[in-house]
Amino acid sequence: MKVSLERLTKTFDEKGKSSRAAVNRLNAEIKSGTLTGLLGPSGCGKSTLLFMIAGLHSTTEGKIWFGEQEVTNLPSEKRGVGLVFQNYALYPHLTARQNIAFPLLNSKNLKAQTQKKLDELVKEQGVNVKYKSYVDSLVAETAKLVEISDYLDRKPSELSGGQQQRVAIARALIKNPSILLLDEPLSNLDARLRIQTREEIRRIQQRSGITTIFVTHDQEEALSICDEVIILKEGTLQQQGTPQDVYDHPSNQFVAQFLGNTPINILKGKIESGKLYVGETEWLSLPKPLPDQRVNVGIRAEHVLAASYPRQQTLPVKVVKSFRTGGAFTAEGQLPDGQTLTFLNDRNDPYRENDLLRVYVRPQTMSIFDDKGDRILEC
Amino acid sequence: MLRKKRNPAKARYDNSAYLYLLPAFLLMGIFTVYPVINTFVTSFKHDFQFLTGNYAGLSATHYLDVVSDPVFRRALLNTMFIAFVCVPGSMLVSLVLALGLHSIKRLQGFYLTIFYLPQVTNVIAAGLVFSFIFNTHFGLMNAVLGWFGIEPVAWISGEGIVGSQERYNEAYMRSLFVLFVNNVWDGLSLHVLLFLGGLQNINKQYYEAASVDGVSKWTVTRKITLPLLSPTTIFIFVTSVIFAFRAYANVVALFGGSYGPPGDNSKMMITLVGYIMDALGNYLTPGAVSSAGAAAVVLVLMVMIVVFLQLKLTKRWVFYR
Repeated sequence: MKVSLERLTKTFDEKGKSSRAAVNRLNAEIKSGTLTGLLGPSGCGKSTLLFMIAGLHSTTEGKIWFGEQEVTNLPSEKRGVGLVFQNYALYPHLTARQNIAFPLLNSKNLKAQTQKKLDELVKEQGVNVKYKSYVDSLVAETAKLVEISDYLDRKPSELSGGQQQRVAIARALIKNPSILLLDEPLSNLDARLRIQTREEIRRIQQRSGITTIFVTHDQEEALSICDEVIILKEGTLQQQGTPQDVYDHPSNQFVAQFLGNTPINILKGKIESGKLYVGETEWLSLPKPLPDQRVNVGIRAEHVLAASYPRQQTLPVKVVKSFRTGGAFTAEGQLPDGQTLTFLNDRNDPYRENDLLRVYVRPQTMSIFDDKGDRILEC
Repeated sequence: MLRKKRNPAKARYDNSAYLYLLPAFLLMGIFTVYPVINTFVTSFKHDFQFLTGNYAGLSATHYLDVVSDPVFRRALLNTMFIAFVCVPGSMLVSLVLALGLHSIKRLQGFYLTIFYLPQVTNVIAAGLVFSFIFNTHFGLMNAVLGWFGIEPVAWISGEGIVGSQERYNEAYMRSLFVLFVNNVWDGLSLHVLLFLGGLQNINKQYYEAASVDGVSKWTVTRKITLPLLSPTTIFIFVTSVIFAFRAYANVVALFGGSYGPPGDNSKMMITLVGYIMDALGNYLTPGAVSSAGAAAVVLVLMVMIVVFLQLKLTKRWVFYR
């Protein structure tokens, strides 16, 4: 189901202080059947937004639509969402099986819905099935989907983090929700399990075809499995788009700096009569003319290329440091005006301190922002 | 290699630790260990004279005497009533109050203070106040009942019980009721506080998860809150039952030093501790102190059995994280 957010605002009243908007006039549309990531640094309002969609937080202003139905003032249980909490919130005194079955056995609404489905099924196939055994079969089915069939009789404390997480997802999925919401689903897992589980979430989402929204502060996580990401900062939407799109074409400096494992280089410079200067050094002429002004130039490390033969429009760089993180080799260099530039290092013939080289960057791969950080041109 | 290295911390502990522990050991030995052993030994001394320390021999006579004494049985029954009727009653009322308090935000501290007041009140004073409340002629209870046209009830005065078993039984029931009310009130303070603490320890996300699923408040209380509260519940139960076995002061304050209404010679409301106290009061009578010792040993054994059973059941019922 499609989710539309219309000028959505949430303010929390703080004692003695003026109220602060955790989510600020946010417009977004989440397409049906996609996996969408809400991405942003801590405190950007992404979890608040998720809980507003879930109905656990009230809306201060604006509207939320599920498909064609407005749900802004609908209580949580009537919205038909499945929610997975950051720490899973599995009932510790119940086994995995009992946890998964809990909504279907204890919610009046869901009971009625499930019973109705069962009645139809009975009519169709002419076999009499009791409600409880129907729920059991649904639990088995869901457990199979998330691959926890072998652990159903264990209590949460006897399960690993990844298994608990899958039980939590199963508990959300068994309700057959129209939308699945995940709050920081991977933050409690170790690095290896995190990568494994995010693929798992992707697989479950694709198999069930359910519209899924998940919150994360980890850009790599979002970029690797999402169909679309929504990037938030201080409660306002910065950019929405496919992972590749937001990575390659950031709409402002914040997005550019937030994304990417190696932080993007931001060089201070200026445009003067169609030419780009870094510091006071002339670098290259722009393919499209732009008005003269001071600018910030965003360049990803992987787009900095070493000039192996003399060519024009290059910058001299003096290598200051070289780094190695696992398999990634990077080097940090100094430009004539003292600004630093990070670029990929050669694995076999790495640059060393005080090496001098000339680098160039294809204008198409750089992002030029005005000096406030709003994007003005991409060459 | 590393193994051969001496652990310097360990070496230092060995000798001096006992020196530091000595004062505590001494005090415990004098005031706890020795009396316990002495009580046990005394309980077997036949015709023991407290003043001279003479005794006729060792036997289990006092145990047989105590167990066959109707007053002891009465004391046992009353103590059981406090432990297994009053305590659960008090816990149930406290739980309901704590659940109510937990769901409100405003005035929570105010109500908590009110509920906590019994804890800072002297047991004897409170017991006396209760005996006034339940006074037949000028008590608050009968005054309130009077508004509804109900005749004054002889709650604890026990009129006409001499010579009539039926009247006696009725008076006993009324006294038990007063004892129940007093115990419930007395237990409230600590139990509400502990239950509230237990409730506040339960992660709010369990409730949020249930709310997204549309599970009703009542079902949430039954299937989530109560099971998760079980460690608190069992803790309160175990400690309260042990405490109940020591009931004495409030019974004396409520029903007087004869443990019953005027004219009653059966020590109607006596407790186990009351029985021991009475026996000790007759210390000049040969064998009385031994009887007290025997009763005390029986009391300790009963507490131990109850605690053992509770711990057994706890493992099956209580959820610990």
